[in-house]
Amino acid sequence: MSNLLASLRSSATTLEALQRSVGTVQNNVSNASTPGYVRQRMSLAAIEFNPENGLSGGVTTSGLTSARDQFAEAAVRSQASLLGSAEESKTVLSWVETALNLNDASGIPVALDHFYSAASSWSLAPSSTSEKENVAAAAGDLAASFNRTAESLQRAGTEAQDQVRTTLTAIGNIVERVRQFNVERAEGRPADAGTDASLHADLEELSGLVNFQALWQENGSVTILAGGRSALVAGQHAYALSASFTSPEGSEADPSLQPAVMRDADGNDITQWLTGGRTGALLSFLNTTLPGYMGGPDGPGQLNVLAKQVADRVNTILAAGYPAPQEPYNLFIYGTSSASIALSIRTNPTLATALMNATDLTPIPPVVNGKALQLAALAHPSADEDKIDGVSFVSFFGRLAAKSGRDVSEANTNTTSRQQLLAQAQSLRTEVSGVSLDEEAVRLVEFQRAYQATARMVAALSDITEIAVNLGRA
Amino acid sequence: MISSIDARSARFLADLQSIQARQARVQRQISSGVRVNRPSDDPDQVSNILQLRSEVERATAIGKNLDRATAEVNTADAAVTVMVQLVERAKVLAAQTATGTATNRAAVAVEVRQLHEQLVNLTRTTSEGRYVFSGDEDTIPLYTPDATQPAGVARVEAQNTRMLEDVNGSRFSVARSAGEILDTREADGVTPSATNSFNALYQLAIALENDDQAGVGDAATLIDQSLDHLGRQVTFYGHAQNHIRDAVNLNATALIARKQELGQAQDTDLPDALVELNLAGVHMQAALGAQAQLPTTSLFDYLG
Repeated sequence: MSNLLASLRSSATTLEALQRSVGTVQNNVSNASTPGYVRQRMSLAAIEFNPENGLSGGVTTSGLTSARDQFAEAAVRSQASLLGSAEESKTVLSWVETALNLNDASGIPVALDHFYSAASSWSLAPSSTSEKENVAAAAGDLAASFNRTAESLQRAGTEAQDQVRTTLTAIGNIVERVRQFNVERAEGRPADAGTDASLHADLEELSGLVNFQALWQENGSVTILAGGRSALVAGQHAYALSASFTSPEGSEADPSLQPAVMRDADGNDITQWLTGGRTGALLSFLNTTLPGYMGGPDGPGQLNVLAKQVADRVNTILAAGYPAPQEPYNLFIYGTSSASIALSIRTNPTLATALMNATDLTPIPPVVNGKALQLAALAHPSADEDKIDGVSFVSFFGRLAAKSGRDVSEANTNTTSRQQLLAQAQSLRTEVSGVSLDEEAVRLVEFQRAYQATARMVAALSDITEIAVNLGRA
Repeated sequence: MISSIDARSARFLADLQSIQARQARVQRQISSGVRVNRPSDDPDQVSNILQLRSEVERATAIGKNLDRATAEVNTADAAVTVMVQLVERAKVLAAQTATGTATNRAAVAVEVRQLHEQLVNLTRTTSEGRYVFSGDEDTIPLYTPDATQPAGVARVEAQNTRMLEDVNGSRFSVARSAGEILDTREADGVTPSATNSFNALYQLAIALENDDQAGVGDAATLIDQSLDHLGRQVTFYGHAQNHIRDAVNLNATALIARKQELGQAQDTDLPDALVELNLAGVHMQAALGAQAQLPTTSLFDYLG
């Protein structure tokens, strides 16, 4: 009789274990699309069976097993970081491409062409006041086109700086959530499938923002090292990154285009280690790409080189033959900082058109429209002093625009390939640790049959027990 | 925020985005007629396109200059022709009054004075507001009648160094100053030379006023030499007109060539673009259709 009751108890335990297993299947199916969720399995263990010693056996649950694969997770985070960087690069580089638009009617190439045309017309009537005024007006338009282009690039820099701040805020929000997770682990509360899913979703999102290394601790908490070096989260503490945009002392860099420096909570410069995610792309843009055009601590930038060369060459041609100082006869003037010439260039307000003289004093006799012809010839230069790096001013600008075009094209291609690679990594992760509805359905059928069989066993045991009880009565 | 879309669907969406971007690019090319709207459309051609545009602009500007120069040279040529006519009239008058029987020298002197004044006025010929015979001082007339001065004219000294440039960068002159045409001087810069038309008419007028037969004969000799000189000026302007016409033709040819090159570099190849647009559309339809064909069921749908 006692064995019958033990069998009943064993069957009840089995039913309970099967219910938990079915519940696990249900949770898997419910969370099949939940970001960060991985397949959970309820482990079943046989209970000791020895009927002669009264051990009735049966089955019980021995805990949930997560299918999470940290290698697959790391692979996805790595690709997410690269994709984040590619997407951000695509965005910021397109700003540069827009600033160097080759079809802009008020852009630098068109303004250069108009200036050359005005000089050409001047050459026909070198004494004409109206022709001189046209040249001066065209020079003013040319200076304004440099200013506008420089301001567009400057705005791109300012937007990128704002993006850095926004990204740091987003990083801070995620880091705080991870810190909360660590606090719960420190308090001894185990992580369930849901909190684990949230954590890994946060880590994947963080990897799109910045490259980092995640180190798992014995108590289940996670330490995050930005750039693999500086702690963002360690135990129950979170550490903030900060960004500053200041020039090194003595730099001639324009105040509005200063390099970006990222510092950890201890004030250490970690800029060089943050190479991935949106942060890495923004830092590369601010510290390398943009200074290449607009200048920075390491040089004046190509746009400023062009502006200076145009201004200096025009001034040299026009002021030739006049006694020193040359400045009153300069058509263009610009500021003292070599990294902000394109921003500061303008026509000389004190140069009266009466002082504009087209006479080239070099040949004997002087040619009355020689300087005007020299200015017009800048469109198709043959002399080295009329070129930059062996090409005309317009072609030099073309090189800048072409570079921006190549950068954008490369960023587009990179983004597409990174999207594919991320999808591939995610697909592999799903294969390894994701929820397969078909698999869960098979397991459900399995547990359903086992439950049905066990329920019948309970019914049969109940009948047998009643018979045994009635035997005594009879 | 991490998307809940599975990897396969994410890849499909990324591919769809790529096709849509391709369609948008081709549509932009077709609607604008320009293949290279942004540097990224064809980075290798950007510098070439901008330089070609610059050369088209330059050739256009040179063309306008040549048109203006044509008008100027035609005006000057017509004026020089009139100068020749005036000096030829003076030659006739000189021949008529060089004989011993001439009795109207005083009356003829008046006409010669008028011819002299007309010559001076012709030096003030303008084209587009410029004095075409004033050389480098093209905002002022160089000559005024002045009986106290040699050749009967007061003059402003001026060089004549203005050059015109063609599309190849070659420079040439298309103008002569009044000094070069009518007021040639000896090396001292003061004494009128034998080909000086002003002086020839001036001397004739004086000789006629003084009833000086020998003086009239001498003046007639000066007039003959000045006519030869004027003939050479007419030839110069003829050559200038030919030179400008050749430059205009050269410029037009260069402009057409540059525009053709520019068109090839930057314009949309419409048939190619339409084919690409069509292909992208087909690609899109196929991708959407294939995605729609994917099974949406699982074993759960078959469980009782």
